[in-house]
Parts: sequence; C-alpha cells; structure tokens
Amino acid sequence: MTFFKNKTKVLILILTIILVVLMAISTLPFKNAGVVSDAFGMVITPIQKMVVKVIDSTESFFKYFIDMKNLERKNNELKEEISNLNADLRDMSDLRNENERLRKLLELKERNTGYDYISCEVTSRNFNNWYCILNLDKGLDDGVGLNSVVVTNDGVVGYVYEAGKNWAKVTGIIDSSSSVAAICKRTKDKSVVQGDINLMQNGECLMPYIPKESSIVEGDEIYTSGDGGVYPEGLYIGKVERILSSSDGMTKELVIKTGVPIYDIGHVFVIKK
Amino acid sequence: MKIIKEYLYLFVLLVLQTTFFTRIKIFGVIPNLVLVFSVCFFSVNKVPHSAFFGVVAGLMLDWIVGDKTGLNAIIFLYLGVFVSFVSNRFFYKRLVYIFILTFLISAVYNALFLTLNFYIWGKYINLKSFIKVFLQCVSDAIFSIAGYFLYVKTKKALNSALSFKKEVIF
Repeated sequence: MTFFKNKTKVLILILTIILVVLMAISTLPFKNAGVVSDAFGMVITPIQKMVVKVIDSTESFFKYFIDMKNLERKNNELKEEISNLNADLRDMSDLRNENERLRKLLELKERNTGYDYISCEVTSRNFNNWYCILNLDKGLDDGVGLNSVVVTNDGVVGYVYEAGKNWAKVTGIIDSSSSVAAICKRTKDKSVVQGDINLMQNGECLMPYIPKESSIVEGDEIYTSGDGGVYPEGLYIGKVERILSSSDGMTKELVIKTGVPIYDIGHVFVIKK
Repeated sequence: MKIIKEYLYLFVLLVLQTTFFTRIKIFGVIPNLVLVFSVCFFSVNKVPHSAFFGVVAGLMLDWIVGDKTGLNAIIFLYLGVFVSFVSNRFFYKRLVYIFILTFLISAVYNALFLTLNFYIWGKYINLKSFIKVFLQCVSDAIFSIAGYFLYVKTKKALNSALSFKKEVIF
C-alpha cells in the first residue's frame, strides 16, 4: 500500500501501462494513424517542409557564388535523361522477353503497365542506424493509401506504412523490416529482397536463398515478382552488386545495390491503388 | 511558460534532426539530438518531471521516426527516471561527467532498442549492428557538451530551479 502513497511511483506505473497498451495497438496491421499521431504529423510536416526549403535555398545560394548552381542543374538534367533512357531500355527489354515467352507457350496475355501516380515531395528523411523512413507531403486526402507502393524513375523506393490527412510515412526498401518478393530478370530465380542493418548505410539490401547452382552473376537486374501482394510485378529494384555464400554453404546470398539513391531523393511517385 | 519553452526546444531539435542533420553525417551517423537534450534535461530536473519529459520526447520520436508507437517512449521514461535519480544524488557538474553520461545512456538506449525490436518483433540483429552503436554514442556525447552548457546557462538565466544541490562548476 505504501507503493501507492508515492506519487512518483504511481505516475511511472500509469505511464508504463499506457505506453505498453500503445505499443500493443501499434502492432495491429493495416491501421491508419491514430488521432494524436495524425495531429502531430499534420503540425510537423509543413514545418519540416519549410525547413527543408530553407536549407535547400541556403545551399543553392552558396553554390551560386562558386558557380556550381548551373553545373548542378545541368548534371541533374543529364541524370534525369539517363534515368529516362534506362527506364525505356528496361521496358523494351522486358517486352521482348515477354514476347518470346508468349510465342513459346502459344498463349496471349494482356500486360497492364498503366498506373496512376501521385507526385509527392520528401519532407524529411528519418535515417539512423536502424531505420530508413521517408516522410511525404501528401496523405489520405490526396489519394495516398496504406501499402501504396512508392517509386521513382530509378526504381522502387518502398511502401506507405502509415498515412494521415496530409502526410505519409514510407518504409524504404533498404529498411531492416522491409521484404519484397523479387525475381532476377535473366535467370528467373525467385526469392525475397530484404533490408539488412549492416548493408543499409550503403544503400544496399540482401537477396538470400538463391540456389547454389544458379547462374546469376554480378550486374544482373532484380525486379519485383508480384508474389508478395504489396508490390506489383515488374518494378525495378536494383542490380546484383556482390554474390556471397550463405553461412551453411547451401545457398547463395546476393547483395543488391538499389537503383534508387534513397539517401538523396527529394521527389517520388506513389502508385495509386 | 518556462516548461513550455523546454518542450518547444525539444520540438525544434526534432525538426533539425530529421531535416538539417540528415544532410550532414558525423562519423557516418546522424546524432540523436532528442536523446542528447533529454539526457541534459534529466540530469538537472527532478524525477517526476523527467519521467513525463521522457515520455513526450519518446512519443515524438515514435511518431516521426519509429513504426511502433510507445517503444521509444517507454525507453525514455525509464532512462529519465534513472538518470534523474542518479544525478540528484551523485551528480557533480563537470562537462566530462555529462560526456560520459550521454555516451553510456546512448549505448544503453541503442542496445535496449535493438534488443526489444529483436525479442518482441523479431527484427534480425547481429554483432556488427553493435559496432554502429559505438559511433552513435561518440557522436551523441560530443553534442551533449555543447547542449548541456547551453541548457544550464539558459536555466540559470531564467532563474529556474535546478534540482541538484552542488553548485555548477562553470
């Protein structure tokens, strides 16, 4: 009874109970953000957006003085052009492979490549040793839904795991909790691309459980296979950077360098469901 | 009003941590300014206030950074109680103390965070994960020196009561 006479201990006990309940609730799948979380997001997102703009402006100002601004713009234009050309090349290569497969099987399938996109800005990047989370400036009111896939011209960024009225949180594909059903375009080996804490800082992820006899090599391209139910088929993930042997020596593990430079992106597209 | 100002500082540091400091990595890590400021707060305030402040700081981190609401809050709650309790009895106001304290608390925080994620939600970790913890701790400890200096000066300037009995050295 003396325990309950100590107000500090009672306060700590009450706070602990509330927080444990909150943690239990937060593990429920497919939830929208709670009222308080949504309100906090609605307040902080415009502030973060404004701060990022100020930082961007300051950066640009200094770069102008050392004549870097024009060079940067030119560089971005060229990067975007290369990115568009690579995307076109992958589309054509994919269509060619599919055409060959259809001819062999003598079946006709209609391939739907048409998606509706929602353009979003990245307001903040929440990276630490354990997370890769992006905050976007669009939310439920703009058509962004839970489990919506986020992409750029360079490939898959991640998926929306929480959304409020005018904000959304995206788990990056390199986050340690991320798992994407994937396929190697050339060899058709299927597995999952998982985030790895030790590879995250390099913008890489891991694709384990590849058969030892697989002919996969460095430079092979990895795409989503559509098997997981979240990511549609045919989205570019990245290239094989290194091939490792698993700890038991029975399978191969691939280190995948993502196509998207997650630490540098400022603009993404959400695929509307 | 003074209390609201401290929560406002926390909010500003959170915004800076998630915008400005993502562009500048120190030792390859992003400093956890919320943790640094919280440790400074815990070391000079009483236990009930520190506990509540820890919960608010943790919840802010959960809403912005985390995906499990309440995880950071519960860790910060008990860190706040511990640091405040210890500081009220043993604290001697030297910067080297706050440096060591922040280093240790950052190590405990990261270790607890990893362990809870592993045992409750099954997120895979290995020994290499803990190497990054060391760099994070060093980064946070360096920032704590400036943070503590500024915080105590601000408190003294506002004539706010500090919970420890011994005089501040600087």
